[in-house]
Amino acid sequence: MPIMYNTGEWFKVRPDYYRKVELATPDWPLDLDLEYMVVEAAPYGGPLATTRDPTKLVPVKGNARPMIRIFDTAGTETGHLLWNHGKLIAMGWSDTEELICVQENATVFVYDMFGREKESYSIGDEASVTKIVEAKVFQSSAGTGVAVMTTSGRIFLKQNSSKTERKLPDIPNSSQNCNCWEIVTEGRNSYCLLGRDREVIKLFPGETVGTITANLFEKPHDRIIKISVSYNHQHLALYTNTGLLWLGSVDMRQKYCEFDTGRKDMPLQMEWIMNADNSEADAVVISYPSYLLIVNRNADRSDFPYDPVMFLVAEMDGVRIITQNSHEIIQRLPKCVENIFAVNSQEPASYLFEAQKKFEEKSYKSDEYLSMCREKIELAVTECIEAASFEFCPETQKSLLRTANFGKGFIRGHNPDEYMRIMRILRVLNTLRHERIAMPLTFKQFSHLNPEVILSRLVFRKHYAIAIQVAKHLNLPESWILEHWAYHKVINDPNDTEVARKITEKFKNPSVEGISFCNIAAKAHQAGRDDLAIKLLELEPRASLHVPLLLKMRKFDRAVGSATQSGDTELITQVLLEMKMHMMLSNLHMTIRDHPLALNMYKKIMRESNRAGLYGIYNTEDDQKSIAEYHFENAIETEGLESNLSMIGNAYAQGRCTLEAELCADTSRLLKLQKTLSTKYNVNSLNGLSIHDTILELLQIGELKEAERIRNDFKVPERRFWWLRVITLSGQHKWEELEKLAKSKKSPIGYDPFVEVCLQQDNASEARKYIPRCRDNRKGLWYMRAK
Amino acid sequence: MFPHLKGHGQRVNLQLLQEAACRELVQLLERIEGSKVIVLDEDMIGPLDLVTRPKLFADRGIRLLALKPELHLPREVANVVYVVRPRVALMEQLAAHVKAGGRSATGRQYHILFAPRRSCLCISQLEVSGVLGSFGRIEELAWNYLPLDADVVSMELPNAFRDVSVDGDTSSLYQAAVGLVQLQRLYGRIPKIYGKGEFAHRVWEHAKQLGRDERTLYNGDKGVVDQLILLDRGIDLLSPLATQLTYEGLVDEFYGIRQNKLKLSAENFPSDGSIGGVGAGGGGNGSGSGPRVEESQSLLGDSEKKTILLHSGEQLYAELRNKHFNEVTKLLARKAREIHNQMHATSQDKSVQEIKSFVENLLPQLMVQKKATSEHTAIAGLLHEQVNAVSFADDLAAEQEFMVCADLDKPSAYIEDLIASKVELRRVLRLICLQCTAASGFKEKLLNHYKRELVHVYGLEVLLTISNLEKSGLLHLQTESRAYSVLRKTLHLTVDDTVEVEPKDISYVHSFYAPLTARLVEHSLKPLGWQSLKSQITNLPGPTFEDFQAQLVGIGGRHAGPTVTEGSLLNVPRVVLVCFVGGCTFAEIAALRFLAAQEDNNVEFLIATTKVVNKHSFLDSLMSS
Repeated sequence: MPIMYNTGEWFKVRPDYYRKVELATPDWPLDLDLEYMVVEAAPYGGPLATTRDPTKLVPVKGNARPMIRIFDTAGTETGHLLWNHGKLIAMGWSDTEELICVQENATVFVYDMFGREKESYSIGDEASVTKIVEAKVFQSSAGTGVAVMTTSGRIFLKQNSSKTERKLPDIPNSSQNCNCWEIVTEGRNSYCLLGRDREVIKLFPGETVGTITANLFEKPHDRIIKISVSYNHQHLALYTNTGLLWLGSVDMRQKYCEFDTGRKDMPLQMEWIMNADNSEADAVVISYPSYLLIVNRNADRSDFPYDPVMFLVAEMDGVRIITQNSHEIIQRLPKCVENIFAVNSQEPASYLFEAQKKFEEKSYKSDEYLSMCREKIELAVTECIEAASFEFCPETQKSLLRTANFGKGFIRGHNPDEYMRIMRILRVLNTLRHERIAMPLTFKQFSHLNPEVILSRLVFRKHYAIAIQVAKHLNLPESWILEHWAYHKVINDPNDTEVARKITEKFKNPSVEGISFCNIAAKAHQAGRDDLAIKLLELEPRASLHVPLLLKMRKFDRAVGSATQSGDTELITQVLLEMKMHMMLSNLHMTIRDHPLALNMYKKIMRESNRAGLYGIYNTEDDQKSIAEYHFENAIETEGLESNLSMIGNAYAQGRCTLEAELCADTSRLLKLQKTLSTKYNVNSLNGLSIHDTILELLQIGELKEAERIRNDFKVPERRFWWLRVITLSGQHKWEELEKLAKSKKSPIGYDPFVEVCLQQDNASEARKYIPRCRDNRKGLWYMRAK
Repeated sequence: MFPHLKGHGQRVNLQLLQEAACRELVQLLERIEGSKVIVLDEDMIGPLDLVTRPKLFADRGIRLLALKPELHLPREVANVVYVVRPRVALMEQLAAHVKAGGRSATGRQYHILFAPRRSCLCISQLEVSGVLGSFGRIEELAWNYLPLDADVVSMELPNAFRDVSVDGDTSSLYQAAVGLVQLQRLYGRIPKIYGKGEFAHRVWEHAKQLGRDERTLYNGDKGVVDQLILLDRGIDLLSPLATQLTYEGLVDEFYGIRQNKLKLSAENFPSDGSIGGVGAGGGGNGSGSGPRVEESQSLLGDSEKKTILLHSGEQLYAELRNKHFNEVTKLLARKAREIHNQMHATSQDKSVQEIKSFVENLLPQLMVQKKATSEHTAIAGLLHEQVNAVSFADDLAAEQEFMVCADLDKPSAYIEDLIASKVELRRVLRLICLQCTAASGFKEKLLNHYKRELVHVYGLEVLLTISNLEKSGLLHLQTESRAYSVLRKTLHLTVDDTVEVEPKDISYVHSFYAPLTARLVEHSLKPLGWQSLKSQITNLPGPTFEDFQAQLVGIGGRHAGPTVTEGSLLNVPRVVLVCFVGGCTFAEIAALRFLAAQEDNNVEFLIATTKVVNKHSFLDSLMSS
């Protein structure tokens, strides 16, 4: 019912509508003539690789060596490479937008989209020796793979450089006359379909021999010359030399139709057109020189005259056509778009669209239209939103969204999430389709790739600013984009301070979260710019993150500093262990001196693993007290205290521990004395006793004189000597002597001890003798106990 | 699984912490395929016990073994999982096992779970021993704070204070910081932070640094915990040395409470048979603990001992634990009377129905109560003997003299007498350290006098022990400030009127001395408390600090909903996390619980510590070489 909107691009292949939409026109460089070129384009609006077609005769300009030039879809050259290797057999793009080139000797070269070589690998020795005639780059569930056919007719598959190649079964009978082949992926397996004469041969990995299917066609023909498998690996199209087309399922059990194109010339390319609104395919597009033919399952056709040369790129929801002058996409018209814009459409969405238009025109008819779709207004709104997502023209998108917006006002409690989501994404898509970015993605492709991948593709193309805007718009993290930008700067900008300044400037924005200066610094280190790396590290507030890189750069002093700053003892230990491996011991000591925590941890490590090492550190530190204690502990362990005492004493003295030194000297004197006393009184038990215990021993054998001499020698306080006497006397039950002692002079320890020792020996009557002389506050207690 | 951790109406539910810890272990174990045995470092038995039940392992068919030099591993087991503290000394044992096992069982995998931190030193030790290749997984079991009770979490690091102060190894500080971040992850951002002391400050600095990576923490609303108070053990060395006079404190000092469990020789208790079966009659409170005990008993080979659970899940104990010991005996007597009355009231004048309902409902409960009462009466009896010993009373008297700052500047005759009678070294050192701390340092002459005395009696080796005490700050020379004697007055650390029964002030926990740490917390609760406190505690070592963790509002971000208005918050108790860096005593915990029980304060405490210490364990860790 509405007036023609974009319906001019529509054409009918019964029963469906298809449309051919013009994308941004590529602006090829003047010296590029696609007619003489081989063009391989990556799906998802990716880059194109072109090289001169060796089968065509052209005047060679400049270098005779073939050159591969890489363009984006807007025709801007992103890179080129001189092919310095052998004969180039095939090119293709991986799902990560890497250019894969296969050489005659089965060597595969991988380049990025700027023409920088990333890696190369070979597909097995056999293929390399026998040489290959054809190669195909195919997509499978495990990523992009390469298939080659050798001169001996064998086919090898290889997924990537790290996997081993797989050989498909030999072609039964003869490998001659194989005109065309295609790789099909089914679940986890990839197999080959091969057209030979009138048969299709299926080579399934693991089977010993291929299976032959013949008699697919009813009409006469000589041989199959083209095979095409749909994007989803479900459908198969065969084309014969007589212009017959066979459409069917990929297992060849089902035949959709057989169609006589009536053309005698060789087709250039043949691709299935995937549907945009489901994952089926209903039609194939076949390109001939200057002619494009579309045939669907119902054997209906539509055709267009065209540029002499065109290249078809199968997408997940259509086929793109690239020519010298245009860039178009053929799609089956999504149902919702058809519902709205088709002539005489009776669908609610169509009425709603009209209602909105009338509403804008302030026409009363708006209400009439509205009442026609009032019942199904929710469906109408949904369809409008959906249709907007399929549109390429921003104006159409806008009018559809306006309609949806208008319509949702009539729905109670409408959830606007989907509307918002589509609107956000459309904005991003329109940006991406702009010729500066030149990534003409459909909504479906965008959703399939998911925004993270898109962002990383933008970043890879160095569209940092756009990427950040897109990330912000879609509420996705953006800091990693900045990080990539920083990597780029680090690698390409030679001025250290300038780079550091620029990076901090960008990163100090508080909305930027989780930036790791360390990652950037690591990149700088990889680029051989350690000074810059250190500058960048200084910007990272989390000290613990500095350490791994600093260790890698062998900047141990900084590593220790950062580790101690973080306070993480485990990290410090790690640094110390690393240093121990790579540094002279003396250097290590000097380095960690300024970091007390590291020093402490080092001491702890040494104490547990290598006690002798401790001495070295104490020496460096001139920590004499610790040296004394170190010797002391060693002496105790080896039970050689006596011989070491002078050394320990010296160290104490140097460490200004006068008392300790003095006590060492005393002990040494005591030990000598104990020896003489032992022989003199014939007691062995004196050796090694403390002063106190020595006196006790002497008192116990009754040598009071000797005990008193020691007491004087070693300045034992009178109080303690009295205690000793009281204890020994009571212990030996010499009660009279104890009493004598008590009376000899005023006790320096009071009389409580007398009572106590008596009680300990259970002699209450003796105890009572002394109670009256005790402190007053204790008397009661003592009386109670001495009952 | 651990109902006692939930507490009664507590705002912080520590079951979450327990579940998180348990989950972490299970996840690590599940990554290891095949049959397993777990070999436990002795230091890990306790922590494991705090968060797991033996059923967890029984259900998975995992056997637990204690780590010993000679270990007989079951032949058929495919995986041996060591759960260990990262100590290098243990690695030799592991290496020995691997070497021995290599001959007997082939294809066996060894794994290590380091708690709380993977140690590269240990790993390099294994490498040196040439057995690193035999170890499959070497992982980290990030257990920092473990729930001890409904309001206490502990790192179970008995040597934390010693490591930091004597050896300068600050690993425990870092782990405490990691733990604080983990707690915030579970319970939300803590908006206000106060603290005192150098190491406390360091813990906070680390925690802040680590928190930087926790975006979600700072974007959300504040969590359950309103305030964090970090206290360094170094600012109050008197409290851990002082004799605790609460029931729990005394039990710990005399018998040692290990992870809520008390082991006493069975002969002290009336035989279980008469009470009616421990395992079956345990009822609600002791459920599930039975098999675990057997397990650990078989590990440790202790069948003569009786194990008593001591935590807030035990009703009677919860009542008694924080009371002054003198009150406990009275309470127990009353309890016994009540039970007696209830039991006997029933036998008369009751209809058959009533008796039936009594037998069915009340009686089992009464039996449990009776059992608990009899157990605690027995324990109280044992304590009573100890407390009445002459040495205990004399030590206490001397200690209390020091606390009131009497004659601090000259050698104490009591200490000298103890030295002369060559009593246990720890006992002497404790009193000397107490005197030193109370005096805020000795004059050089006095210190030397004590040193000389000690060496004369205990031998030259004692110098090494003294050196440790000096490094840790327990023994030091006098400086200008006399922090203790000043604070004693300004903060009323000692009170004149001693109220032990139904006290009004926290000082009851040491009869008349209030632990400085608890006093600081008490003061900080008042309006503007911390601000006025700041000027008073400048003479304590280390910085006084405060910090705020505000919600981060990103540019263009929206405010996360309306915040609760101040008015409605007033009725909800504030939750204060008190974090002791270097350990705290049961008396300090009791004091804080006492504060929380005062309605005026309207506060709830969560206490975090490196380990619950007492005067013995604190000194022991410092004295060991």
